[in-house]
Amino acid sequence: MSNLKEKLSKIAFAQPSDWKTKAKYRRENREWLKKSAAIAIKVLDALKEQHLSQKDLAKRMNVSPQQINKIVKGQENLTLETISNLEIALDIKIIDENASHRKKRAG
Amino acid sequence: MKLVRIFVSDNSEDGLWSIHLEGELQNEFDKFFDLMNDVEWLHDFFEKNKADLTGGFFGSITIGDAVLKTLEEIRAMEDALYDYAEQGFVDSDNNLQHLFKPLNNFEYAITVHQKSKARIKKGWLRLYAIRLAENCYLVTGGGIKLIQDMKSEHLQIELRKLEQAKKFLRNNGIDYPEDLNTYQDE
Repeated sequence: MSNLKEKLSKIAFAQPSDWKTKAKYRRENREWLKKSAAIAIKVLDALKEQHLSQKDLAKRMNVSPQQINKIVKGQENLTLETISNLEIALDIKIIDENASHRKKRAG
Repeated sequence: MKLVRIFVSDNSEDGLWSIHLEGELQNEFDKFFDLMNDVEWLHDFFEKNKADLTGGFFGSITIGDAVLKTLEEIRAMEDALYDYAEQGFVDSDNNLQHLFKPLNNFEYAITVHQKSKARIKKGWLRLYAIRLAENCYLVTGGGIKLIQDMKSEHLQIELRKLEQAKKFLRNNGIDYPEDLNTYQDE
């Protein structure tokens, strides 16, 4: 072992970081994570605009505040049901189900 | 303070390390990547630093767009480091010295034990580190740099962590020549 590495090892934890595992996960799940982040931004913007807390939203959706907190971190693989419930509770549009249909007709 | 291996070569001193501050649950490197992927944290950060966000050199930008820009940058930064960690330490074209530059923009010489930063071109994310050898860096933290200088409180904390890490290395027998970074830190 090189002198520098030996010295660094002496003042380091035995357990290395698990960053590589997390980075791999973020890379492999990138496409849906991007969508989850975009939804989280819409929810946070709406909460701010309507002066609501995450707790208020949890009550409206009848879920735990922890569940809302997971959603706004932008790392949850959300179901269509949860997305629809968010739209109703905040009166916002997250997925415009007619957008692709309209585009086709216009083209 | 202790150190944590992020990825280190088996047969040389090449590699990336991080500091782990006392009382903290995570080391500074892991914490940076987790926070920069956390939409709630980023939204809150830009809300608190709205004046710097809209008054700085990035022009008019909404909080939502600022979050998206940060997520894009952190993905690029994480990809570069991940590729490096995966490819190992054989290919000299892809070395840590290409990712990390001297902290001070006007400092062109690369020296031992130099305060350094990794950034994406035209980006505002910074990963701060101390250069220990040609291909060996110790990460001390990271941040979002919205204005030209380091005067924001959150960046002052990063400068203090760089200093703390230097002292820690010195106290543990990792020789540290007199600081060459005497210019104003960028």
